[in-house]
Amino acid sequence: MDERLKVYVVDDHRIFRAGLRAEIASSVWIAGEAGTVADAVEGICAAQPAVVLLDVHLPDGGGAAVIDGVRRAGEQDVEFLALSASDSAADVVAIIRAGARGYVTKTVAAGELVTAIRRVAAGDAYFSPQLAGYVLDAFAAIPVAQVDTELGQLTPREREVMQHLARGWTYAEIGEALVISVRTVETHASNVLRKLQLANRHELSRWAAERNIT
Amino acid sequence: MDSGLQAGMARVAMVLRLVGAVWVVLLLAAAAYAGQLTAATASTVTCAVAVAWAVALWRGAWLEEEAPPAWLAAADVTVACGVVVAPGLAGETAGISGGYPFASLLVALAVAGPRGVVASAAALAVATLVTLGAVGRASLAFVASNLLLYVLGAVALVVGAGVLQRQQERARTTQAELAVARERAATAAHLHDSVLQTLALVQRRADDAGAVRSLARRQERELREWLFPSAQPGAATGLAQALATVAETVQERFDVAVRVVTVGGAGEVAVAGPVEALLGATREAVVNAAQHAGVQQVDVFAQREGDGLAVWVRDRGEGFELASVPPDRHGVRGSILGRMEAAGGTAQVRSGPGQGTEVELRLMQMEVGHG
Repeated sequence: MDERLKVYVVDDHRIFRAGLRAEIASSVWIAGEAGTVADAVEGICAAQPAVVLLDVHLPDGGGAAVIDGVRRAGEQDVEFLALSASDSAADVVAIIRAGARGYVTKTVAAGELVTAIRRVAAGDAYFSPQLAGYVLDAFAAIPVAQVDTELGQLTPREREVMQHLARGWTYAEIGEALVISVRTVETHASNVLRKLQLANRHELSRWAAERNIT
Repeated sequence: MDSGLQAGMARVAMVLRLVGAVWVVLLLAAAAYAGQLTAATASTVTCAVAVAWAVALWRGAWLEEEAPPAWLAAADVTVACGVVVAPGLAGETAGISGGYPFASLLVALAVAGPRGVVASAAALAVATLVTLGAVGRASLAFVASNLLLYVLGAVALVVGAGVLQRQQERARTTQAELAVARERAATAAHLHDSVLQTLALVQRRADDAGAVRSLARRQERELREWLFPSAQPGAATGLAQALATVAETVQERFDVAVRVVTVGGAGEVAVAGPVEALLGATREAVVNAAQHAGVQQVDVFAQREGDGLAVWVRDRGEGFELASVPPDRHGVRGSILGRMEAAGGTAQVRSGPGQGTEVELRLMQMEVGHG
């Protein structure tokens, strides 16, 4: 990891962007930042970063609108890591379904954030314990009778990996415990992410709605 | 048109339609009693059709639908025109239509708005003029007064509906503005009581990193709870809340972040009986990790497993040999292992020097109530 990764930060709070820069600028190359959806789409297309740190909550459509805009502009190689102060399960699942490859809370330690950025840049998924927990709940809520394809449920191995991630384990530790390679753990995680993005929209959104009754 | 306004108009139209039907029957009866009917059969049939349509409209309740179909206004005005024209064409000189046609203007307003009213009024006016042609000068006064009624009625309805709608819009805007202002005042009050106070404290204690971190954490938790109140039933009294309290206390006492994730309904389990023991053991494990592991972060994960409940407390700290813990060290042996065994559960501690520690607590095959 000699070469520093090119990272772009999208968050509508200038203070948070400044703090983030101070924390991780020694480990990654922060190539630009934006506070609105329109600026972000334009800036990302111009800067061509490897990873975008994306706030879930933005005015004018939120992080999902940024992913949409960038993909529509033809940029398929940029990966997104969602970052949020919110614990709302529905919001988090929505941005993952929009195409983000991971989710971390804004209180995440700098070291863990850099790990997450590297993992996402490599095209893998990054599950913080919170996201792993949401995923377990989301798939448990889909009634078995209504599971249309294998997309609607996790394999026992995938569930095991998610449970370990929710317990705060690293990929390397999980690999060691389950006697599989780190690469295999990554594959399981990526498969879970794909399932979360493609599983029956109706069931997942109903789950999300139930979590968010206010 | 505004849906509340429209529903009101639909109700008025319905009542007027029924009143019109009664009116037609009364006029027919009066004319028959006075011996003025010149085409009794045609008038009676017309009257019957008018009443039948009014009853159908009432029982069908089509006017009460969200968006009444356009054919309703067309059918109503057709029946009304028939009531105006048919007796005259059959040679009837007594005018029996009365207020029946007028109700069509309101039905049209409720279904199709001002444009419907104008169309209805035009159709009724034409029908009335046809009557004049058929019956002759005898009906002149009747025709003139009816024409006036339709035209002026239409104008009054169109203008009145417009005024009502504008008024309602204004009322709604005012209401929305009021709600926004009230929300803003409540938000400002809350921010002042919490966030601004914390920021003031942070400025005064800027040289004490631990205190600032702890203030920020407490404020974050409070604000989060305010912004996203727990949606899950039982969340306020269940295990999730209890674990959050444990996390909070430990964070404040030891300046170590505690991350809690609950899954599969574990968060809503009531803290009573064995679960209380489980919570106590969890607290002990978290405190141990915060005190001895030398880390900034401890992870807690709770999960329902069938009838049971499992909690893991994980730190990536120094770790230790379990065998090397002296028997008098109360923490692990008494507070964790002993407590779980007494509650009918199990506790497992996995640790080694340099590997961190994970404590696994399980309650199996037990009644787990809901908080």
